[in-house]
Amino acid sequence: MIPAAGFPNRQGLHFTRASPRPYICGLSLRPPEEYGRGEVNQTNCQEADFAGRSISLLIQPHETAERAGPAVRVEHLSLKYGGQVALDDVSLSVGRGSSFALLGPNGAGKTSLISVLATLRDADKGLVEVAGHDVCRASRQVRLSIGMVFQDPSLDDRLSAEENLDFHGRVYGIPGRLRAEAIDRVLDLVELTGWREAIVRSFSGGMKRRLEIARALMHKPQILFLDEPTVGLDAQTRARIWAYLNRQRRERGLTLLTTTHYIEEVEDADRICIIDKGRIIAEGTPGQLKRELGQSFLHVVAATPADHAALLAAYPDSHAVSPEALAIPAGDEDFVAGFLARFGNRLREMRFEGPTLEGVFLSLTGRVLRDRTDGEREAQRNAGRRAGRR
Amino acid sequence: MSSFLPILRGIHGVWLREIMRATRDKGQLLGGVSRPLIWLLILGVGLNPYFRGEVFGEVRLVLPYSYLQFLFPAVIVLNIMYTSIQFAVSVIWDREFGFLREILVSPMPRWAVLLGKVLGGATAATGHGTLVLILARFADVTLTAPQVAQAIAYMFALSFALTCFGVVLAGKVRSFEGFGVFSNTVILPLYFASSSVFPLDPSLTRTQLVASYPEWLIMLIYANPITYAVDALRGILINFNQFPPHIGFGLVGIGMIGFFLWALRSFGR
Amino acid sequence: MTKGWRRWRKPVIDIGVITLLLVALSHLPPDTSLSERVENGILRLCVPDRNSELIRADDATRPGYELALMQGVARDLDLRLQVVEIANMGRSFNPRDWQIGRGQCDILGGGLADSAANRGFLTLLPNGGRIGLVRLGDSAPPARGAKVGVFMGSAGLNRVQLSSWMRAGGWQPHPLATKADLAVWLRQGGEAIASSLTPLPAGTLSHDLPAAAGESTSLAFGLWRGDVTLTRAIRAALQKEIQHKQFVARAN
Repeated sequence: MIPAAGFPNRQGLHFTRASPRPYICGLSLRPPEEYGRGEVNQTNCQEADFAGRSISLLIQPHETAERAGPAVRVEHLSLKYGGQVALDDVSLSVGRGSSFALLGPNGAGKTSLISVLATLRDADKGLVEVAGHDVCRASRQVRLSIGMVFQDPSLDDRLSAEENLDFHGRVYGIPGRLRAEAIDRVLDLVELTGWREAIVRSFSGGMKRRLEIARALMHKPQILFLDEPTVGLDAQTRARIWAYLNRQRRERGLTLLTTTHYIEEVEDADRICIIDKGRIIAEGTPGQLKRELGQSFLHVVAATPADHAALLAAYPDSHAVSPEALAIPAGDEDFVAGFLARFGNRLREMRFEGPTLEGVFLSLTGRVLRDRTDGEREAQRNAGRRAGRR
Repeated sequence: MSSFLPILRGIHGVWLREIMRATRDKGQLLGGVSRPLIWLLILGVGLNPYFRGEVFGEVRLVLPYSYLQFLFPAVIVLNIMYTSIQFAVSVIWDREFGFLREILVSPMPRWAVLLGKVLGGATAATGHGTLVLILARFADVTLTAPQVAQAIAYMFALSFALTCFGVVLAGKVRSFEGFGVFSNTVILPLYFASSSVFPLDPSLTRTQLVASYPEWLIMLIYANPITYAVDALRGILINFNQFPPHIGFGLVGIGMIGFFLWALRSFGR
Repeated sequence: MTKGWRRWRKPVIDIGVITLLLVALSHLPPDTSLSERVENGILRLCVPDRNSELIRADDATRPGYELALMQGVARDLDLRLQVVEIANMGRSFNPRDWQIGRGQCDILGGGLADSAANRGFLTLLPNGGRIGLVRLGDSAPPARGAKVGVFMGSAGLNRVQLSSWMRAGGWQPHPLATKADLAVWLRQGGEAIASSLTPLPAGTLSHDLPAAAGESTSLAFGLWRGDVTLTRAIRAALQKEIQHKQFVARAN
């Protein structure tokens, strides 16, 4: 908890684009209705906490729920894949109408878990229920009640937006009249009505993502799985998509289950589940996790090399983030006040980073969450896609 | 029974997508037209004089048909083979570019998805075969309406079997480039070793045949299922059979079921 | 409806263009057999005997059945018909010994049977003529015990086989000696069996007899296999001639 008192004026701070992007915590509390992913870059961690809880109070168990109980129930799930353990005794429960995030690095088992939940893969051991149906025994019911937004694009980019949706509708067995209505509805939802007959190949990444989300919502699923949903999207598009999804949650009790290795994606989730090497290592609200496991840092750039040396000497447990910048572990508000008193006039740049989930992950596993090779992988995939096009 | 209609709708959806893709793919259409033109207009016309009669009682092609007529059904089969087996590219495409997952998480059962896809591929291949029928006049093959209907039905069955075969191949090959090479090494040998471009004289006994062709080639031709597939289509189009036609029909029927089941095993893994 | 059309418009146009292209290409001549004849202006018909019943080339007013057809065909194609007598034809069992080549003949006729052996060497165009036995009269065969006239003519067909077949069918043969007798018999409403090359009174219906009564084969013109364009042109003209002949026959 960072009280405003010990915090310098926001306007006075230098915002740098150093990676990872920090979240500045302030205290401008707003009612939860106004809360949206749109302000992501300036979001308050306390607000996230507050808003998360508020939203979960606002959402009632949805009337359309066919069966009582949680949206997703997983008990003692184990899965081996290619001789390796992909999931090891995973248990979790996702409440209806909530937003649940699975956080973990690549290869942690997120996609394996989603595959099991989406009936793409059978579990070796354990009980898995989605929307009240057992994934093994009633896979058709499960598939009808879930919507999937995959990590990689899964649109047919040689068809138009409408044709992609029409295909989806037919495959989900929606009769003609209802199908046409559903297409109108979801296209309007993601503001792609004007692109109805455009071929998907001409779409930007964000438009494709929106179309995929529209498609996943077309058959009115109770649960929407979003596997790395906003990778490669600009902030504006990302904000708009989250705004849609949160509206869906409010309006019809849609359950969201997001997997990601981007912290930004999950800050406003109701619950976060951190998964690594096939095991759940922590679960709770973002606030809880940060409160219990997080660490604040003060990112500073000294005015002169001499000051830099003095800083290092004064705070031996600081990390060198770059040749110039230092990250100094910050304790409570008194620490910041004391620090400013001593070094306030010897700094070129200063930035406060409150407890982040990234920090949580770091302290739990001793590793950073996001590896730099992700971007390259994506670039390669896109290059391959272009090359493979006939 | 209540889940039957949605599945039909789904099969129709999958089929429709394949048709849209096949009809929009100019390259595929072009291939479907250029192949018969090359084979009939160029090869057929080029070789026709070498197979025609010069002296009464002496002839190189001891069949009651001109070379063009003889070649005509084989070119249809070639066109169908190409389109059907190349259809597997669509399966690889779906797998590589993620669309397959969209289909696999849908409530449609896997067999229905495969059926829709294969029906779509078979329809496209039949279309390409039917395009060749337009050239019947050129090859001096006169067709009646029932003959055309019979031929299209048979072509569809053959396309279905070959499309399933293509899906099986797609399961074995991981990349597009690999598949291009692979399909050519499958299609062309099957086609050439099928009594399609040179006739095995039905009036000759086996011993006489061996006198004109080496034993291994004849063995190859007898062992090649495409031989019988071409022969059955010849039976329909020019009323000429080297083998009992039911062998061809039987093989196509077995191929439809056998390859479909095999394809189902490899599809979506 | 309009939406569906918009979606399919492009593919439909593409396929339409392709179809038109193929239709156009299918009218390309696959060979030079017709154009060569047109250039020379002559169509050569090879026959074993200029003066057989089927040809009668020297009888300008009453040409034989096949010659009349061929004359019509030649007129249709705007070619001059030349009848070439090849005396070798039919003398030996093996057609190779007849030494007929593409150089001499365009069409073979004058009694070429539509047999499997001939089909192996030539493209045969059945000309509507038959050689063998036919039954003349109503379409329904006569009842058992009926008297059926028989005119064998000079064709040299198998009488023994025919009479035993008629006995088995319970019909009484009534021999007819001349063509005039046959004509009279038919005019009186009698049924008859005759050689197919017999000139018949107009309007007489003829029906094939089963093989047991005597082998019957249709007659054909033979063209060199592979002469696709010439074959096609002659087939079309021949069909027209045959139809015209039947039309005239029915009109009489």
